Parts: sequence; structure tokens; C-alpha cells
Amino acid sequence: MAKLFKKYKTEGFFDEAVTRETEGIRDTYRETAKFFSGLSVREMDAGLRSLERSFLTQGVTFTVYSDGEGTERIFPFDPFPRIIPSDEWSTIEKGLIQRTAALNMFLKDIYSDRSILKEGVVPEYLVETSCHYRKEFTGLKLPRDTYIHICGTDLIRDDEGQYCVLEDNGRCPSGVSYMLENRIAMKRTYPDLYRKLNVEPVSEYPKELLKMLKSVSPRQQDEPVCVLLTPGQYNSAYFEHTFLAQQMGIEIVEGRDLLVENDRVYMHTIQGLVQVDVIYRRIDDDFLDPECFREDSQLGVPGLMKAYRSGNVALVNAMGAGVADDKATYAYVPDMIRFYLSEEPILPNIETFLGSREDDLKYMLENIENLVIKAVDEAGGYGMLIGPKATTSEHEDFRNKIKSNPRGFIGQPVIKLSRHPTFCDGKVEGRHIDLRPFVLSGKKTVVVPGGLTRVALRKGSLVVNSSQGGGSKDTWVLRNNSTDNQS
Amino acid sequence: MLSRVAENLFWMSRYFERADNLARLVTVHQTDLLDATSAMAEDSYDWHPLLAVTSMGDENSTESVQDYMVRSQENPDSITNCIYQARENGRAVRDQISDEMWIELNALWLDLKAILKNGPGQHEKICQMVNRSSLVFRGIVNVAQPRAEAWAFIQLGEYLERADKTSRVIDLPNYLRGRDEASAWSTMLRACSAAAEHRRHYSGEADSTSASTLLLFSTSFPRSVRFCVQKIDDLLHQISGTDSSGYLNEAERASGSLLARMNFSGVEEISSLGLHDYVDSVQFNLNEIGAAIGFRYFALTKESPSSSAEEFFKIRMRSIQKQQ
Repeated sequence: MAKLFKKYKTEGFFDEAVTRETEGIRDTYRETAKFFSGLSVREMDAGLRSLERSFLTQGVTFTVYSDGEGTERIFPFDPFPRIIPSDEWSTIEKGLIQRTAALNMFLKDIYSDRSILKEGVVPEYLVETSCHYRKEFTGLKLPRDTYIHICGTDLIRDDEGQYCVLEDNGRCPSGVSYMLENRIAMKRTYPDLYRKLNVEPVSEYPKELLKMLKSVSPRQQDEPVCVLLTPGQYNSAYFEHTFLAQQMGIEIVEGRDLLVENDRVYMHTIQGLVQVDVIYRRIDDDFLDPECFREDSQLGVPGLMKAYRSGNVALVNAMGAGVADDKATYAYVPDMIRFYLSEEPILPNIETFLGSREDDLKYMLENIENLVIKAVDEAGGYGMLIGPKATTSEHEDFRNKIKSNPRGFIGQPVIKLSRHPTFCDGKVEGRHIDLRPFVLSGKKTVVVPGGLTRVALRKGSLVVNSSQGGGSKDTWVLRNNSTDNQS
Repeated sequence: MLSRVAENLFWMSRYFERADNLARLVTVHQTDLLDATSAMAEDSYDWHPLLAVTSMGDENSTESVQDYMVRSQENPDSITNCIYQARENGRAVRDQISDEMWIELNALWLDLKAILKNGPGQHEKICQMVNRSSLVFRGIVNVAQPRAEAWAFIQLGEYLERADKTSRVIDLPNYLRGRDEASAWSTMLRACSAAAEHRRHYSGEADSTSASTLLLFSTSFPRSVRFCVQKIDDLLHQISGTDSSGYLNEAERASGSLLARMNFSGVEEISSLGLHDYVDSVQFNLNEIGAAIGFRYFALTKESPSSSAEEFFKIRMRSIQKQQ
């Protein structure tokens, strides 16, 4: 069988679908490989084109501003689904719940007792120098002490197939709408395959999200007023904002739709002012209130921080949660898990060298050509250097940057991300992937089975970000027993 | 509903309707031009009457008038820009409108962009596409949109724009001076899709009386100004929940007053003012209604709206006394 796979090679990488040793297709993928092999190249192309056209007309797009005028692009989509067996998923799920719990306890701690700092488990200066640290909110009591209500944790699999955490996104993680839209498109295009595999649905996400938002309302009433605060329709993730608001049936608001009176937040409606209880904000801390932070922010709401401090409105995620996004903080998460939960981390970190630690700094400077260097406060694949692929002058440039601001950089060994069969010009080839599942911390912590699998479409590339030529795949978590049925 | 959302829905619909009316006007005029012979005075058939009647005049534009009306990026009211505006307004309230509505609007914009990129001209194709898509869009609104606030603002934008455009197109024969009267009136009727309806009711050729009776005062023809104003008045009362005999805000007062004016003294006013000045004054009233809708529903104010007719009456009395 498998004409499509005839020339498929793992090339020594850990591959999700094919074993390195025998180049044989793994059990989990057998059905899917057979299905796609049965399609002609033309059928495959037709399917792809219809998928793309449907994303474009539905406006499932993000905006690229590289050419002066914003261009709407679809997020490139690869129809070969990433498949995760249920036992693997259950480990991931436990690991994510554990990690998010520790992060929330850490944030609560640094904004109150600071015990983890006092005991020296996490260096105090690291927190104090984090650009997302908001000292002024120390002592503020938050509903159920939750700071990160929505966490997008980036997972990768290393060369041995071990799932590791690459990054925690605790501010405004995006991408969940693509997870949902990809699933809709896949179900429409390949219903037979989908049915055969017995996949866990992801459609509950908006319902769970709304439940979580309502659960943090300061006003105890039956129907709290929740809104989604967007920077506006020219933001690159605007589609996602409207999509989520629509799915939850809540208003999507811009800063100019809100005003603060008597430390309460109201929205302008055609029937007058309506008080708002919970704001799911997709705007960074700095832009939320021009009275407190950036005066030039047109996106925020003057006085919002006063209302927040008075406890009259909840923000999701909370102010100051970005300390957990700091890539230097990341290195200490395993210690946090041990400190707060007295457990061993289920999902390991990647080995990380911190510019702020003297020995690590020395190592980073000496071995820069073998390391990935990342700025601690950048995201989206920006501000990083992949040592082995960079030129000598780029190495020198980064060495200087690190020397002038050691706290601002971390180093990690180059991880050979796992690869996955991907359609490339009528052939199937291996491409590197990661996985971003979404964790909701409400009355209980919920991880929707699946997530956004991002794929580096450029041959050999390790960068999966959409701004850097990445695409996405649907992620199929199999229901229990489904693997047994197949074999 | 958020004030901004109401405003976006209103303008989405209004711009789409504007594009649709312009497209019909351009198509009809284009058809007339095909029949024009050199014997006919050239300037009576050229495109400037269309600019005059739509108040688009930019005589200094380097583009041909047709391009200026259909394709121009500079002309804020060109068909292309109207569709762009309709789509941007729709995009801002993507979550409030049905998927089908959004897809129709977005696909039209994408197709239009592709045509513009393809090469010059193609005005007929663009106009046909816009007219067709507009019908599909209105059809979707009709079958898919619940008759709640969002629907009401979509309808308001449509009827206000249509009333305005019809009242302007009625004035078109006034600018087609070189043409014989019956042909000018027939052009006007076709631009309002009213030629067939006119034939059904009047056996002879169109003239100022028969055409304006149909397009200003008909209570059954959906493009007549009277019909549209009645709809506007109904919609405004539906939004505020007031009885149709009363009014709670300036918008309802203005629509009620225009409706009464057309119902009770339309014919007399035309004979004393002349058709041109009459439609001018109707347009003035329509602008008042538009401004009042903006003030009451879209403007961001901390004041709460009047909850009873008496309250609104008192506020008006006070503001009038203050002015004196």
C-alpha cells in the first residue's frame, strides 16, 4: 500500500507516524495513512483547495502587516491530522493541570506572601525585574486566587518522543479558534476517516470558557455580564476574537465601548449603560488603562484599573500574570511544582541556561553556536537566534546583546522537534511540529482534548509560528480503546 | 446591543444599499448610451448628470466618470468603496450577523478585488455582481435574521439609504435636459426598477406626475420614498418599543413628521415648490432622521434615554426654552 508513503523517510528524526527503526507506520496512524494513500494527487489537491477557499470566504484569517497595507491571509492548513493516543493524552492532561496549578500558586504567592522568594527557591530579583511584574497589585484579592485562567502551553516532543514544555503563555494565548475551525473543516472534508478513528470532540471549548468567565464574576448574580475586549478589527487575531464572542454569545467590545463611573465598568448600549462584570481581555496589560500605563493607548479604558482594584470587575487573565511568561521564570517552574505541590513534574522542561546565572552565562557565551538563544520577553518566534543556523556575525551580535543584558536572555540546546507527515507539493514529507493545548482554570481545571498543532512548513525549519511560515493541523485525541479496535 | 454594533450594522446595510442603487443607475445609463446617436446632443448623454444627482461631483478627477463612480479608490462613494465600507462594517460585527450574511459580503469583496486587479473597465460586470449579491444579501437577512434589534438597524440603514437615493434619482430628468421628456422619465423609472410597475398602473408614457406619484407616494411599491419612510418610522418604534402614535426621541419625531408631511400635503407642496425643491426638502428631512438616529443610538453619552413620551416632551420643552 502507501504509494504516497513510498519515498517517506524519517531521516533520523523522531516521527509521529513512522518508526525510525523500521520505517514502518505506527498503529495509531495505520488507518489514516491507508486513507490518504487511497486518494489521488488530484483528489488531494481538490480537497486542499476547497478547504482553503472555505477558510478565506469565512474570514478565518489573520492579518500580516509586512507590506504597509494589511493583507488578510489564511493560516496555512495541512489536512494530515496529528493523532494522539488516549494514554499519551492522559499524561499530557495531568501534566498541564499540575503545571497550571503551580503557576497560579506562584503568581498568588509573589503578589502576597512571597514565600517562594523568601525561601530562595526563585530569586527575588528575577521576579522584580520581569517586565510583566506589576508590584502595584500586591495584596489584591482575586476570585479563587486565579491569575492565569486561560493558559496556552507549548509542548514539543524531543528526539526520544518525550513530551516537554517549551513555553507557558499566560497572558493572552491565541490560536484556539483555529483548533475549532480546523476540526469543523476536517469533519466536513473527511467524515468517513473521522468517524472510523473515534476522536474526542473539541467543540465544548466555548461552553467551558464561558462557564469559567462567569465563575470569576465579582457580582453574585445569575447572569453576570461577560465581554470580550478586543484591540479592534485590525488586530491580527481579530477573527479569533469575534469567533469566540460569537460562540459564547457575549458582546465583543473595544475600549471606546466601555467607560468607568464610580469605579464600575459600563458598556454603551442602545438602551443606555450596562454594568460589566467580567472582561476577557485580548489586550496586554500596558494598553488597558491610559491613566495608569501607556497614555498613548487608544485601545484601553480610562479608569479601568480603579474599577479592577475596587473588585468591581474581573480581568481574564489577571493583571501581572505575564511574570509566568517570562522565559527566565520558565526555568523555575519544575521547582515551583515541587515547592507548592510536593510533586515531581509530569511534563519536564527543556534544559535551560539563564543569562542571570553566572555559570550559565559563561556557558551560553562559549557555546552560542550550539544553542537556541531567546529574549525572555519576546514571543512569536521573534528575538531569537538558532545557533547552528546563524552566521558568525549573528553569533557575535547576540553575544553582545547577552553581555549587555544577561537577565534578558536564555539559552537552550537545539531540540530536534518531532516530525509529522505533511502534504508538500503533491508529496508527503516530514515536517517539524509542536502542540499548543489550552488549559482553563475555572471552578475546576479543564483541558479540551486536542489543541493547535503547528507545523513548520518550510523544509528543515524548526520555527512553527504563523508569522514565520508556519501552518497548522487538526489534532485528534483518540477515545479510550480506539487503538485496540484498530489493531 | 452595543451602540457601536448598532452603528456598524446600520452602515454595513446602508453602504451595501448605496452600492446597489449606484450600480443600477450606472447600468441603466450605460444602456441608454448604447442607443445614443451622434445626432443627439452629446452632453445630454454623458455621465455628468449622474454625478450631479448623486452629489458625487469631483469635476477635477482624472479618471473617467464611469471609473470614478464604479472603480475609484479616491471617490469615497464609488461602488467599490461602498462595498469595501459595507464589508469593513460587517467585519466589525462579524459575531452579530449570520455566517451566510458574512460570507456573501466577504465573497463579494474578494471577487470585486479580483476583478479590479484583472484589468480596466468591466463596469457592467461589477454592477451586475453587486446588484445580484445585494439581492442575495437581503434575502439572507429576510430568512435568517431574527426580528430583533440587529435586524431593525440593518433595515433602518437599507430604507434610509433607499429613500434618499430614490428621491435623488427622481430629480435625474431635471439634469437630462437635451433628452425628450418621456425618455428621461423612462430612464429614471428603470434606474429605480419601477418601469414594469409604472406600466401596470399608467397606460401612457411616463411623465413627471405619473413617475413621481409612483416613486414618491406609492404605499405598496417598495422603492417609493413614502413606503421607505413608513418602514423607517415603524422600525424606530419597534426599537424603542413605543406606540406608533407617540415618540420617545428626536429620530421618531422626525420620521413621524416627514411621514405626515408626505401623507397630508405632498401634492400641494410639489405644486407650490416644484419637484426639484420638494425632493430637496425631503432629502433634508431624511438627513435629519439619520442624524437623530446617530445622536440617540450611536453617540456615546452617559445620559440615560427617555423612558416615556412625557419625559421626552419635557426635555424638548426645556431645550427649546433654553435656546430662546
